[in-house]
Amino acid sequence: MSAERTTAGAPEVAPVARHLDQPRVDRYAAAARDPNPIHRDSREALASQFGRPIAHGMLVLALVSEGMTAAFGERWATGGTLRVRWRAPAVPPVTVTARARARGVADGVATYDVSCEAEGGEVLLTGTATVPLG
Amino acid sequence: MTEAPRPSLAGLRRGDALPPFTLHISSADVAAYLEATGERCALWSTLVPPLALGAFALAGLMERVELPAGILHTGQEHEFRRPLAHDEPVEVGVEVGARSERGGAVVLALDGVWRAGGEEVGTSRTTVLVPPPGEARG
Repeated sequence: MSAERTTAGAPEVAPVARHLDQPRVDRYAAAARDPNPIHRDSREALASQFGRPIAHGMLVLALVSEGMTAAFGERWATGGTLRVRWRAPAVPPVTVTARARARGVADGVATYDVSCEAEGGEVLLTGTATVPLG
Repeated sequence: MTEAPRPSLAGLRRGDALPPFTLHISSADVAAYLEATGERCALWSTLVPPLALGAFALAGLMERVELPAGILHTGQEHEFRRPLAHDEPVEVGVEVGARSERGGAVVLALDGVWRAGGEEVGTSRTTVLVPPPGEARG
């Protein structure tokens, strides 16, 4: 767990980068029991507005949660909040980086602006996360 | 016995609730989830990662409604109150918190409440967009 503090007074959250390829997306579909064909090499994915399979939004979001867990441990699962919107699909193969930038601390709760970006800089997801500093 | 037809997601109205369902997330389920996401954290050797619970609750929801073609998951919110232990049963309740239509597209916000051991352990809001039937290419 990081003890470093940002200028906003909140602990640093280290970025999490991960390569999302189709085998990982397929494993996620099986593990998370998501049957949507838009995530696999299927007729539906080819016919979709994206023209090819896209990674699950929840798989991309999992990188944000991983970063928060690394920084806060069980506190993340005991009082953390998350609010995000997906801005663009992650099209595998792609390396995605999740970041959480401290916005500030108020009433013992740290607030972060969270985002995920593809390797080319495209923003895939934005939102906020909060964690009680206990 | 014939299974009851699943309701169409796009046909749900604000305030409609799905019958609650119970999840049992095993150590094997958690291991498969972590292997797929790539996360490694000793904490999850006994506890369920909170976003995994969100993913499994979402899967439970998808099993209980008819998903329209071209549906897009556009937003997600969570409040995590306490982590679940592996194999701890959790009841998931889902109701439509908001519904709007614009240009034939339907936007739904599905509010979830997770209860275990007699207490609320987390909540979710899943926002989806259902495109107009003529534009659904998925």
